[in-house]
Amino acid sequence: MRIIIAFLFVCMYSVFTVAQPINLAQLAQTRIAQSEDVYKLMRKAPWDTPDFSFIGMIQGNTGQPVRLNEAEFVVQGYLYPSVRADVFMTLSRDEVGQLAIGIEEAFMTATNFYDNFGFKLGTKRIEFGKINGLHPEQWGFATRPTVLGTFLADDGLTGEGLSVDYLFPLPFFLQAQIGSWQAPVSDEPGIFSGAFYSARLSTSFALDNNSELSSGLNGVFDNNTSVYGLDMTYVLYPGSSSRLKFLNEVLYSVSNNVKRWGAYSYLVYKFDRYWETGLRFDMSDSLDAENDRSKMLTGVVTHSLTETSKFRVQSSYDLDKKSSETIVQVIFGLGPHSHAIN
Amino acid sequence: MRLINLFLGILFVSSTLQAGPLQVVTSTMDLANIAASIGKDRVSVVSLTSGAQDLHQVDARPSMVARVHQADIVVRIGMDLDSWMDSIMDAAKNPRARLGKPGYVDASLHIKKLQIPQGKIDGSMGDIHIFGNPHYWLDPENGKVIAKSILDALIAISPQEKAFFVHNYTAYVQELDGKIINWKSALKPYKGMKILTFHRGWPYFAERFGFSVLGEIEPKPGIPPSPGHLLSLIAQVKRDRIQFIIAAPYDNLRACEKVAKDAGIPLLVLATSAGGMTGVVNYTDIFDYSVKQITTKVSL
Repeated sequence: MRIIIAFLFVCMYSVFTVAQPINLAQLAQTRIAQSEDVYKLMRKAPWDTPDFSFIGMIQGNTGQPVRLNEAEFVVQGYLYPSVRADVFMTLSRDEVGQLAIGIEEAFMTATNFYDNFGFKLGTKRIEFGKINGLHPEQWGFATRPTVLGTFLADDGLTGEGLSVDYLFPLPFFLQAQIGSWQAPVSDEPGIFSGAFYSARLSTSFALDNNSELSSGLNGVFDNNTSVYGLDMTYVLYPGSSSRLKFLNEVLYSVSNNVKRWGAYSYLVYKFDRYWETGLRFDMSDSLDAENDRSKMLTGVVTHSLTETSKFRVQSSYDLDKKSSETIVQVIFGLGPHSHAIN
Repeated sequence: MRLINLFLGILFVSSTLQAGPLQVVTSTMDLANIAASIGKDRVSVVSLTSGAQDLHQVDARPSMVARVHQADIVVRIGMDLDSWMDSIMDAAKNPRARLGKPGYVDASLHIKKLQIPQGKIDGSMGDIHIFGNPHYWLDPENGKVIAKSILDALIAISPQEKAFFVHNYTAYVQELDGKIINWKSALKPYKGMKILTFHRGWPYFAERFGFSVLGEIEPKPGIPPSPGHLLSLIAQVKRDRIQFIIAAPYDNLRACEKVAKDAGIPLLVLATSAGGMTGVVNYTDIFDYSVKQITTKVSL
């Protein structure tokens, strides 16, 4: 018994002795002195929480109230050298207009797994073309191009699985990526269901110091549906803060021997760090009916406050239905928020 | 089989292309110019940006990924000014130039940093850099600190060339020292002058040459000026006897010209990087040009 009391006494004494008020500055100095090189090499001041950010999208469409349309709560950080994790939780409107919680993406990226190979593992937007892999706040417009919504998925094609990419060791950018994914099972025609696969080959050249031409070949396949895509983007930087971008994607879908195609072109000019304006032309076959091709013209003006906070007005005109829709959108971002290079 | 042969052929060609001088990739022209001055013909240096670009507004481009992928050394400004480099570094899959490797150089590492924010910062303060003001290369003394960081990396990657690199570094620092004496001498009569700048980008320059920055045309970093703010600046120029305005070529020069014209003081448009203006080719040209502008356009 005496031994136990003595042991407890020693434990309590040591706890109280150790639990003296800690001089954080002194502690930090000590830690820096102990591993100065490590701290010096760190890009940021020493703390170990991941980056947290919040992106909100408030939107008002013609005839509808202005409301929070979508929100992202994002956690990002490195798990290990060259291995990072990105989690995008969302609040988005469901079919009846209620906000529903979901996981938009949650994946791990090994940026350099083995000799120019990398992989991504988890729930991920499929990197098909230039837009499907992006989050709505990264687009230059308020609505997804019609052909992507029709051929891939209304909210963008997402899968659970793995993709492997290989960066060719060449003087220009050439990267190949293949992926194996699972989507919720669906009987609806043209919807990717169960196991499906993706492939992308992308390249990019700096034509000179002020311009770049990028292109990609894309494909997604399941047992019933194959969608092929070609994207081409030209970017010109005429001034220090101005930019002209011409983005084009053509998609071809084969689903149960039904062949359809569609495309969009988006021309956008950024005047300076605050203002840009763009024009998009959409054309897409319907998956349900033959000879039913929609055509739409969309104009966009965006005023950026910061990289993640902006005001946008978009007006679309349906050339077949002779109807128009105007959207006012406010995107706001809080906290450090980043995306992989597209 | 033909496809496999083609693939192997591409790999072979690409591997042979990597032989030759050390490949140095920098985020800015100034870093490139300093690296080239030390490495000379033993390095091939590429800057990912031009000197005319606003470094706050750089798009990460896929072609940059290919360049960083092939680099033996990557030199960046750091302090989050070139945070666009992060996504490029991740995509480039270059184990030689990852954080912590000898081929990764954050040129800000040994800089005595100014304007490090204290306490909580948020968007109400404008575009604040949390690690301090990142425009440190505009103090030519910091050019020597940058050169030393690059020298260390070159020696670490190519130790057999140490004597060559040290010789070039010493010569570069001596040249810079000589020029700094001349620049300070030329600007000595202007020391203590009160100035305005468009962006909060000149504290290192001002501190080195003895100018007192009393305000910015931007009400807060990255926030465009309102007419009311411009009017208050015009009044401040007269009240505080501010003597000139400094702006970069990519700044909102119309706002600067408005204040300069209405307040009756000169506006000096100065290069912030090598290649940023006609006649500003090298890092030291930034200061040659700035000194010439001040001594010819500002009355004593």
